Amino acid sequence: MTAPTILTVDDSRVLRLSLVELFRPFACRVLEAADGAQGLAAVREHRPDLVLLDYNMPVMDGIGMLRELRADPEIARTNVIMLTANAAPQTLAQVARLGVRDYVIKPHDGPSLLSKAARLITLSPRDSAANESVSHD
Amino acid sequence: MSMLDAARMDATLVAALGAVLPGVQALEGKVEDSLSEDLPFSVTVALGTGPSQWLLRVACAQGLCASLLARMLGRAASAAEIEEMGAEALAEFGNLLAGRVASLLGEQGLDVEIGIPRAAVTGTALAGQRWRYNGHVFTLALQHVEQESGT
Repeated sequence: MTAPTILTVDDSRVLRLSLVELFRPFACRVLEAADGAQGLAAVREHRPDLVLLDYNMPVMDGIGMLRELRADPEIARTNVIMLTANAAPQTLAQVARLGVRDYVIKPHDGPSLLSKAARLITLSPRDSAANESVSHD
Repeated sequence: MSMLDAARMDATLVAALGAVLPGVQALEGKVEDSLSEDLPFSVTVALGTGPSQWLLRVACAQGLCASLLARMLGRAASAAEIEEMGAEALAEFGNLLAGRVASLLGEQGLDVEIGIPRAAVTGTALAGQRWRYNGHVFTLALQHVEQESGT
């Protein structure tokens, strides 16, 4: 079975690194993008199995990226978990309307995020091969 | 006129801080200027409610930046990582705190936007409260400013 590819889209390098660390014990490839525009390009190029998408970002925010993602039939069915610091009901309703599979309130709780990710992709313990991390900054 | 009074905003900020940084402790006494030579790292975030704006500022020494970075990474940060990303960890902490404040106010029916504070007020002194996390003292300041037209 091919190891899943995860794309993390967040303008914070620290948070992207925190997600790389979180998924390090698992057999997967973690790609990084710093905004929605880079994220969209990475989705089109790599077809990730899961996108971990930040809500607030410069250039193109998470909502803008989600809208473009859902409007493109080639990538519209991509699994997305939204990460947001703002858990206000109107924010959560907005992301739900755009078909995110789940959401996580930042600062994220590692086990909870892993559990949500594991519902969408297969997370197996990593063996000898190191995880690959690719930045699209 | 602000839709939020200072007491309500203060209480919301304290609740948000406890949620974002469990284990944080309030220290006695206020500080007139949250920026000092002892606390050279700072982040200021703006919270907007209609025509009014609240400025939220965290100031700290590098020790807290390192501690925040370690918390975010889930492991100890190396000296090189602290040097490279410590200030960014503080900025992210400020954003998370502001986001949690916006969430709490949103639950009360207030639509709060998070933004970049105007340059004119970024360097100004803000009175604040001292806190301690993981042995590191930092200040958290909150101030209401009226937003000028055209900004």
